[in-house]
Amino acid sequence: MILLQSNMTLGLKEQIQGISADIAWLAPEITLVITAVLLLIYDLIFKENKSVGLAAIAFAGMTFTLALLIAGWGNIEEDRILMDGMIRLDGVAIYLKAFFSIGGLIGLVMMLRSKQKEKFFKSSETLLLFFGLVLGTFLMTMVINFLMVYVAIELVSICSYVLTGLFKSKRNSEAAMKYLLFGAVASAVMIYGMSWLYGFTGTLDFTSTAFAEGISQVAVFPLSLALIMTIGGFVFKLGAFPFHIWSPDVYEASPTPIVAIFSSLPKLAALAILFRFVASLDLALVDWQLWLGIIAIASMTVGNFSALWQKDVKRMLAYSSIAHAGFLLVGVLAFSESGETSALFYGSIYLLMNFGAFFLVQLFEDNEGKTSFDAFKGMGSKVPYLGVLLLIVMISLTGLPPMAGFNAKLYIFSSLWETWQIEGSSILIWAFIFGLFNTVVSLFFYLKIPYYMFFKGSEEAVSSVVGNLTDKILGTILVAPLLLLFFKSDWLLNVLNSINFAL
Amino acid sequence: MIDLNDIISTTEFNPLIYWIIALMAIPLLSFFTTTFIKKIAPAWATLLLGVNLLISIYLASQYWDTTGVSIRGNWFSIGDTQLTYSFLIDQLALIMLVVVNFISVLVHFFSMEYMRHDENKSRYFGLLGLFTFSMLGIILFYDLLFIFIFWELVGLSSFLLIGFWFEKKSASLAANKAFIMNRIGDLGFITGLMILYSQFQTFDLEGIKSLTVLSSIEDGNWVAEYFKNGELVRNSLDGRWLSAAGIALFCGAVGKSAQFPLQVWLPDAMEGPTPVSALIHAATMVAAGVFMIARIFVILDAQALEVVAVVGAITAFMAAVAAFSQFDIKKVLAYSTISQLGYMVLAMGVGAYTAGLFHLVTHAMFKAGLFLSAGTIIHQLHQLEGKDINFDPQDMRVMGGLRKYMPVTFICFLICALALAGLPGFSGFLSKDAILLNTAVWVDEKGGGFYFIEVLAFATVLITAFYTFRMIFLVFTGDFRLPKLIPANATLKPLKEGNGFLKLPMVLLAIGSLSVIFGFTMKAEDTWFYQLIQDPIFLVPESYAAFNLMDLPHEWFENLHFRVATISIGLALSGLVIAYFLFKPGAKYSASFAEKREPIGLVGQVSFYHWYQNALYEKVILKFIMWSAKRIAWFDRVILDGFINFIAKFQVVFAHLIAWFDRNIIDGFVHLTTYTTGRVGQLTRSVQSGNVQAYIMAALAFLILMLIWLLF
Repeated sequence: MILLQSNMTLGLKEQIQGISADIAWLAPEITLVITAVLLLIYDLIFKENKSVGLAAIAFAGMTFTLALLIAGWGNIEEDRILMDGMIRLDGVAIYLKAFFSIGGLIGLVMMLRSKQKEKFFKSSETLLLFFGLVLGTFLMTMVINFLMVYVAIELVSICSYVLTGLFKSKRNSEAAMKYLLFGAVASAVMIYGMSWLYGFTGTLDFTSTAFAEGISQVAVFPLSLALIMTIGGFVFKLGAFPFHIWSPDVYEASPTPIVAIFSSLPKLAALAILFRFVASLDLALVDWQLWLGIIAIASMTVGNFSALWQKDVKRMLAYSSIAHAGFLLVGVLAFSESGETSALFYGSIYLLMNFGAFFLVQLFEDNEGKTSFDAFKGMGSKVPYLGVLLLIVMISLTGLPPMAGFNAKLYIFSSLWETWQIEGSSILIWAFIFGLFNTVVSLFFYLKIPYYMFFKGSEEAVSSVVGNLTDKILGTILVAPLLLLFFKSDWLLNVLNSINFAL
Repeated sequence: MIDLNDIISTTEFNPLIYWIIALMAIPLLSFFTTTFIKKIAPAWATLLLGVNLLISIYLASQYWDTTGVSIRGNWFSIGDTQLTYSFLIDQLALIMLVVVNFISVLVHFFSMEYMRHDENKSRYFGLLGLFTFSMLGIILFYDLLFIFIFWELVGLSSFLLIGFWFEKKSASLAANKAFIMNRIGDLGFITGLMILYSQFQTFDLEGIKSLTVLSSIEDGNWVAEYFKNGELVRNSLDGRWLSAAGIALFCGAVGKSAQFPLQVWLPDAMEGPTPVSALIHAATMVAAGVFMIARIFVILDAQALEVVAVVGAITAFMAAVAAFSQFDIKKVLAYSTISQLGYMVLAMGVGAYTAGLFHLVTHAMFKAGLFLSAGTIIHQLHQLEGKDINFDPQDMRVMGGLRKYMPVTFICFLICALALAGLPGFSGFLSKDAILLNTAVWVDEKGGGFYFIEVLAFATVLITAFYTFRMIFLVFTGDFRLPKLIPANATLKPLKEGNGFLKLPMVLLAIGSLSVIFGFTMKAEDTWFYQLIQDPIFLVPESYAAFNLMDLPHEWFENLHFRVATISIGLALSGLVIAYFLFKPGAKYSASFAEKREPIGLVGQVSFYHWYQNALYEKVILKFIMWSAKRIAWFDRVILDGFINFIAKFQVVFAHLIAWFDRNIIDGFVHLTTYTTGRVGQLTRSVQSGNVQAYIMAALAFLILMLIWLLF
């Protein structure tokens, strides 16, 4: 009934026809669903040695999805409202989805190269949840309707909860439980905020004119309250302050390939929602820049400072991902075409760096069985090649040249600077100052790993076999773009510039 | 007005690019793979080059009638400056492609036998591949920067091949010499590039040419005006820089094409294997200089061209003189190469573009033929060396009467030699005649002191024929001198003709030296080569441009043609006759030849020591450089080091002061900062107690605090 309200003029029949006509545009999502179903069926039919078949289906499905997205890139001339106003397919969505499927592929590769490979491919359940998570992130890039926002976020969240607790150990279960409870509260806050907004406007489509007109009638106080609560839910998925507290525990406990996915796909998807959401808010009405500015500053600061004291690399990377969420928010803050381009650029580079970092950490984790900094002592001389790769990734995460992480930070801050020069809002310049300051702080803990690897001698003479040739090649493939995109960042920028931003 | 970016804009996709890539990739593949396959490396490399030759022939047949296909793309951009790469497939490039690949294949084939017993032959064939790759780069690219890059690569492969037998001290010294001499020339090349770039802001030859046409001379200044990215660029240089650019670029050619005064490296370069001499130091690489002049021909102004012509004429004469008293057969051929390159450069200088290139092609054939024939002789003589028998197989004093033992080699050598001497019926006649005719017309127009160029050019004809036939008489007629020179108790194996690997390339090149290849005619103007490649028109501003030969009345050429041809044939025949009387079997010089240690008399000495140019460099220039180096070293040691030492001492004192400040003030501040940072970190981290209820409490508390702060 709610849905029909905004489309009163259309009859039910036309609506159904419209929806079925739109299905063709959702081919990548449908591919993901079909892959998941195939995985399930395969699992039921075959009894033994399922891992090869399952892996093959998963890879084929993900690759086909990527192919569909790349093929769809050329076809999209204008933004399309699909499924009766539920989702909007545009360049940003396709771009992000393509990157997500690349991320998905890397995640699958990481699972294959993991020591716990058997656990991932023993039965279809991990992969099923994994595909559910990817599907959720796909939907999150397109949603424009609160109901759909909620469904997409919950799809991602529920899959994440289960994935965290899938490997039955006390640590995993505890982390999953924490994650679930925390997520439930965040969702509750968000949906409470949404219900207020629905009450104000009578529509769930936040891009519609009815929504814009509706909120302009409301007093600032209740409106801000509702908006901040809604944004709180997005911030939870983004893993930014103040809904960041779950991430270190979850990251530490979950298997590394899953963490790599957690820390990239949902974050960027949440960023996409945030982008679409704030685009529908009038700055004259509510000062959302101030809110996001505070969240960004707080995330960067809290993430970086907490990371300083970590003794475990995965926990450290968890805090680092909180800090990066803050940096990503800076792109939203800039709120201009160049801001969106640079946020997407930052997101893409972040995704690559993140997978690179976790992939390499996994190699060391599999060898030592732990991810504390001590495990890295003296590894530089034993496995110099992987050590150098890890160094590159860490430098890129810090944001120093000659790595793409530098370009990402450069673009995002220069667009922030531009916006500040136009608008002159003081929160922007504060975000700018804190961002630069935090970059310096981050140098300390990112370079801690290379420091341990190259400057600290190992105490025990362990015969370490970290990574065979395949791992080295895969590591190189993951790390090479970071170098390449520093020198040739215009390749990616050209792709991004061809996106038609609807601001 | 024209926009630079329009001229050097990326061209539409053309499948031709794949062929171009293939042409360059195949020799490079040979370079990279031969090291791994030791045994079959020669056959593999030859096969690859054969494929390359087929591709070039195919391309030639496809694009023969087109006016030139250009392919251009963006290499990279810095700011709004675009650096492009571009290829041009025109008739000149096609002919060069076929010639280079043809000779390269023959040399590969020849080397299969010549290098059969060398244990490093895989390296040898790899380097040949590298050379061919680089040479094709020079031919295919139409961008001065890229030409320069491949120019250097060619220099490198030449260096590596001259020093192929680097265990020999003389070989590694010769390689160094070649490298250094070329470097001096390349300095000029770079200077030229810089001048052109500062004027036109592009290295693309199409761009340079288009902008040269539009440039003008205003008040003695060379002004180029054009748009770049929509902004007007106006570059003005003193007019003399226009000439300087041409002369500077020509310096590169002076180094590579062994022109006066840098030509001394080429005779030494004969230390390399003989097939390499045939390919690199006779037919192709040394001709790259001439090819480069052809590429920049239209932007040379009158003054630069005069320099080119004078240098060419001097080189041709000097080297010809040097050739007539050498004992080493390869040295004779080396000097002869320098001399012929001098002809080509002279042709370019007088504006006879087509004639110069024509001579390049004919010379490539007959000189490669001569070298390969000489290589066969050396190779076969080398077989005779044994435990007690030691001799230099390149020395003509051990040869003589080889006609009886090696008839096929003799015929091939003779045909190529007749072409070199420029006698009718052979390709050399056509091209050399064209050069002489054009030179004569040009000198008539110029008048004055330029007559000495004509004199030198015609004198060279006489000397060329003389030394060529001196060589033939000494090598092929009379008695085999080697048996008399070896110890009496040693037995000599019989001398044999080379096998098929050696014969086939020689024969093919000898056939290529016949004039019928270029058409049934005695006049160069009637050959297909002349129909295909015409003299271009100079593009430099009018007041600086040289006159075009084609603008001169056609009767001048008609009138002179018969006279020039007669004189040159007459001179060549006289050279032949003089050589016959001096060096025929039993003649005065021929009899005492084998005992001579070095030529006597002023002329002989000057010739044998190549005008004492090496001695001049060593005694004067090298000495001067060493002297100034010592002075500079003294200055460096006493003045500069003294100053630096003083500064260092001062700094140590100052550093102590700073250190105190640093330790007490700065470090204190840093410690304070780290302490604070650490505390803040502890604080933010302390939220993570591990208790989920506390987490949720904290998050909500933060949210509510934020709301309160924002809203009140």
